[in-house]
Amino acid sequence: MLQNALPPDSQSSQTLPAARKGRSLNPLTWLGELSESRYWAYLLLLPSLLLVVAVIVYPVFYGVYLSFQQFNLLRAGLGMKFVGLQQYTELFADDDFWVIIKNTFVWVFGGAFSQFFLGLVVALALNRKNLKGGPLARVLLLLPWVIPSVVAGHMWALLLDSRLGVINDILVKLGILTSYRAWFADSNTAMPAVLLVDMWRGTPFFTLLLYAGLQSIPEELYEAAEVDGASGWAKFRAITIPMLTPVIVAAVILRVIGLVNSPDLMIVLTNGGPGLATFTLSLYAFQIAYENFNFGAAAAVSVIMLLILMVFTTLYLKFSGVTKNT
Amino acid sequence: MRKIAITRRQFIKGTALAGASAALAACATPAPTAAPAKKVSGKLTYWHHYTSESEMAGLAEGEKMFKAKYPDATVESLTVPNADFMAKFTLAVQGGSGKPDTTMISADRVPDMVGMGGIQDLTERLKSWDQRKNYPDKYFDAATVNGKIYGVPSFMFVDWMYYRKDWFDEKGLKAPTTFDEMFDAAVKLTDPAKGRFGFGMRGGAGGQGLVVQVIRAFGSPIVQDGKAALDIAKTTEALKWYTELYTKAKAVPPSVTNDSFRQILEAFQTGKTGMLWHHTGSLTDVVQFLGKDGTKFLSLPRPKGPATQIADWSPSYNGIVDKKNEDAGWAWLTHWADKDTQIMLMEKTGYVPSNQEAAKDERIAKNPYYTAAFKALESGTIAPQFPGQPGWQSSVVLPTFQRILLGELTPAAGATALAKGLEDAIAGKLK
Repeated sequence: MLQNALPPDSQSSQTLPAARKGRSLNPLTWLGELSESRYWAYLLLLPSLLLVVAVIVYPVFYGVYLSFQQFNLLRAGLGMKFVGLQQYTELFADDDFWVIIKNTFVWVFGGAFSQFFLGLVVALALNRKNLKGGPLARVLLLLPWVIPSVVAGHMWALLLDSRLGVINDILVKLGILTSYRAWFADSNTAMPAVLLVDMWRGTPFFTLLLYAGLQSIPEELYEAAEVDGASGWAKFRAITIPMLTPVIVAAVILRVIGLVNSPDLMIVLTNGGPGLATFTLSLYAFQIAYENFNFGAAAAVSVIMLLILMVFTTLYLKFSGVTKNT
Repeated sequence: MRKIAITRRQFIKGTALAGASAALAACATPAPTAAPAKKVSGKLTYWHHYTSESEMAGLAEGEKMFKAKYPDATVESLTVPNADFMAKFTLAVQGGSGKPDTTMISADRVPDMVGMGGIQDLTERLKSWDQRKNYPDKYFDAATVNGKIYGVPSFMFVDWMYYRKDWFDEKGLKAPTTFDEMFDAAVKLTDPAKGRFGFGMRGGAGGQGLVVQVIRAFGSPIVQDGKAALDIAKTTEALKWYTELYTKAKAVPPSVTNDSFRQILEAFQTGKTGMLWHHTGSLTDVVQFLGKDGTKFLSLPRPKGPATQIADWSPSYNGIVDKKNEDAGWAWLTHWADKDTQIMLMEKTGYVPSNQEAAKDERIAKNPYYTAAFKALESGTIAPQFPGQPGWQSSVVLPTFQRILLGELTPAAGATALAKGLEDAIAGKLK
């Protein structure tokens, strides 16, 4: 395929120049000829590939290797001991682990889909032609995404505080609550409260991507649909959603990966509590690694997270149909 | 005079041997000296957990005093929040770069920090340290691993409790000296109509240590001969008593499972709770809100449990991390162990001095609030230390305790979970 795309004189030079006999090896000439060979693309890719191998491929494989070892950094003197699948079997036999898996699904899917729907509504609103103050609204709506999650976490911890929280005050004044509520201390409200905070923070991510996608839909499609007498809903269903699908798929995958991997907001707001109510896999891996320094077990949890993400991404791409035309 | 006959060969051999010995002696590392290096210069890095305004003011003043003693030295202090400390410290030590010259050390972390080779042995320096006489041997117990000492006490955390004297007077109650009296007082002080709760329980971050103290007060050991030794029956009783303050008596704010230091302190300062368990380090903050005339609040030793009174104290140590700057590090450690520095820190923060000369100073000895602290120092003990203890407390004790408070676990099931987690922690297998 690549060969067919090359111009005829390029196709005639598909071997390394050094292999050509009877030619002088002037470095500049050699480089020039190399740049026209099929190896040039690989050479250009090499630095990036080396970087990817060093910071992604090697750590992933080392993580998998570590998950079969017993290795605690606080007992570094004991070294590593091969334990086979023991880390995994112990995790699967632990009731708490399944509570953590359930919490992770609630956190990831509750977070991603609530943020997606809200982000879509906001993006559609921003995309309206007659919207006044649009540029200012776009900047203001993006601010939560720019604020570091640790700062956002501390800010919301105070807003929802059971004694000083402004939100409690407002809800009591509106008559919705009779007294201040400890949102993060009750296992029924802790996860919804954390999801609310993450919705505030994560919605602009979807807004930004979906708004960019909406801007790229040709206006002619809507004009033609209008000529055919299509309703607003019909245009949304037949034009907007199909045209946005690649953006939606990419955005959802990126956000799901972000939610699975990031324990930062949870650490600030609840640290997984009360009890296990907001304990997710990423927080579990973090705690095992950086509180108990049991890197073997932490690697096993990380491998499970990786597998979950791989299965999700594969199924999601398959069922969304986004890869059909490629 | 008798002449000693010596051959030329013997002379050459002897000269060569003496020369080699002199060269070896010159190359050998000098023995560590206890006296602070007279000439300390360059940059010295220090990791600590100070965060409050009063603590930071104490640190800044301490640095100023150090600078006056050693004008050529510059101290670069870095706040490493307590919760993040072990993660950052472990990575710095294992990574080999970015580690500080010196660090603050919580007593419960000593075994883990020594286990990873993160702190230096100070035993030899301490033997000839001129201030050693001002420190009782027991102050070094928690810094001792396999007979070697790794830290110099810079101040003491002494556990005690605060109570609202005016509330107790209102209800005609006497200050509690036993767990039963405390439970009873907590119930009687609770008045939801006034927004008052009898006890400010720490059920969020940092509350795990208090749970372990209650278990010990009910007579259960934690470890014996390096092995898990939790008594399930006694632990169950302890968890039942402590959690029932909330689950049954409702004498604790409903935010309990999210209440860490900030929340319990604010609640006591603003008149939401009548009793509070903490240590001497919060005295300055409490005085700031409730005054120091003794009419609104007083301090007390912790009440006695059914089996024993647990009144823990623990020194906050300073230790040397990087050998490269060891002499300057020792100067910094001994500076914080000096009487004057410790009195200054006490005045800024309320922390009890570890230096006995400083503790005799009338500003401390005559302060009525510290009477309870000195009683605890005389009769109290240091919490059990073992490798894996901080991890067990934060990732097993705290969430289990919260689940009992929430009604998700019974005290008996909680006790079993604590015992299992303790075995895993000691074996280095804790998840």
